[in-house]
Amino acid sequence: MTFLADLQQHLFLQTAAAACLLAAIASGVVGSLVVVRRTTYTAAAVSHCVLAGLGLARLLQRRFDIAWFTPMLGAVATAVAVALILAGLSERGGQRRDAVLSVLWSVGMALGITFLALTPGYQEDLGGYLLGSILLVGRGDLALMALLDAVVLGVVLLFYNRLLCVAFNEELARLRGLRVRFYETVIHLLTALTVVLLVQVAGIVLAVALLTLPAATAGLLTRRLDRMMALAVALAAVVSLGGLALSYVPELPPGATIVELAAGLYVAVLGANRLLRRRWRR
Amino acid sequence: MSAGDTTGAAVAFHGVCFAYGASEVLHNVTFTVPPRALVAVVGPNGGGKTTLLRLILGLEQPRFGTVRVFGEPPAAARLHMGYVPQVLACDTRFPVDVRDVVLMGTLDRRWSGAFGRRERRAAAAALERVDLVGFERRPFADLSGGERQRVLIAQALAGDPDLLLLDEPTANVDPPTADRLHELFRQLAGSLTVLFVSHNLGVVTASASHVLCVSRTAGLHPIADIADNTFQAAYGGGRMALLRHDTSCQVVDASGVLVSPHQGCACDAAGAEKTP
Repeated sequence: MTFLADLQQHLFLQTAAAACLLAAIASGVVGSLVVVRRTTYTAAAVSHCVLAGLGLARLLQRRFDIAWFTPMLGAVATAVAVALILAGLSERGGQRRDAVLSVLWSVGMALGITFLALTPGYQEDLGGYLLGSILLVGRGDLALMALLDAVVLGVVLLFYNRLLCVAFNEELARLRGLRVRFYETVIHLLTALTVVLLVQVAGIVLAVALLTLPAATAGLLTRRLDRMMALAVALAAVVSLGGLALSYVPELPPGATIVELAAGLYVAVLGANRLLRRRWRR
Repeated sequence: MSAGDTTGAAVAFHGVCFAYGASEVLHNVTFTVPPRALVAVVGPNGGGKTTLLRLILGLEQPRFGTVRVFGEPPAAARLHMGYVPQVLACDTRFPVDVRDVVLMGTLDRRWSGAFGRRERRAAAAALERVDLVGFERRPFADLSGGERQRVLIAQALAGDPDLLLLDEPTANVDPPTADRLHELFRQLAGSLTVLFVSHNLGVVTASASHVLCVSRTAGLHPIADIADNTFQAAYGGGRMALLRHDTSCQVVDASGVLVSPHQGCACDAAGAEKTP
């Protein structure tokens, strides 16, 4: 109850709750696409690369006084760049895709660590970026998050039938004359932007868990992609708000609590599903 | 049938060779499928049947020779084709229902937009043709292998194709359903061209208008030309359905016998080696 009382009083808590809800929208929609296409590893690589953008922004702001280059902008720029690299990669066969993902993943982290090390007095940022700092989300970040949500929803609504076909059977999409490369790039960009949102909530290390767990849970409960998306949004909202509330009084890291709650929900639904199905068969 | 005259042909191969890397799958293939034919594609496993369908679709490019579909390069004619692959290239647990899978068959190059009344009507009609009325809202993941196969046939029909390519369309379905599907293909051949891969020689002789024997090379034969003596010589007289294993052995034999007089190329050697 302390949480609810403080939520009414403190602006930072209201902002954090709003950030949770805004992140849940993109996370549920794009997370469902990522889960059914089995590309969670791509999302993880983007997430870790984002550190390079965050670090570069800090360095430019603090050492070279380029104030307009905010960490959020750095994160978005890096994520978009990585998404475009990955989209180009899948076009060229991509037999070594996992190796390239690992390289991007670790080089992105390495650059981020170096940039932060060169930034005077901001070493402590590293922990915040890695583990998330939802309680430090600012009002300006909320506006950007809402904008990203609008982009994600607009694109998915506009292209839903085509995205569904590309995700279901790429060869069929190609035979029907769909611009498969375009739609794949769109999916990569949406994934990248969503990961940036989730890094705000859960941090670089845990963002992918928040992207995939609600979607995977929803996938157990429904057999249509559109319903899976809607349900995943709801589940992501519930676990992020729930995690925020649960972590508040014991002063636990909110990102970690959110992910633990999401994982607990997934395991519970998986277990219930198995039990029900076994009973059905008998 | 002369190789040069391909005007009005549904599918025309001319001197087509195809190889995956160094291993040649098809060699010097020339044939012309007339419109509204019902063509049974037969031949041993690994003989190049699926590759031939993929060449027609433009999913593979010939190393030599030309492929034309309705007089156009395959990629240009794709929207006039419906294709049902043998092994489903998609995740069978994908969260999508039957109607949405069938509707995908009506997609085209347009950028966006919802499905309109025309697409929905085409999808409903296609489901009716494969006896799956009432399955619209069933999850694709919950269907049996045979039902999935029929959904994919409906998907191919929903695009209103002029050429239907089916790679072993009845491999996973029970015999009564297989009979109904073959009856459907016969009906469809009245208005469009159908190529279906089959190992079931009973079906081939009973329904096809042409037989395309594929074993590294290929030859197209009107069913009348291979009636009785040739076919019975090749298959030991029986017209009953043969088991797949036997069929694949025997069809090698058949293609050797049937193709060599027309093509006069080295293909029969390949067949002869495998003949027991």
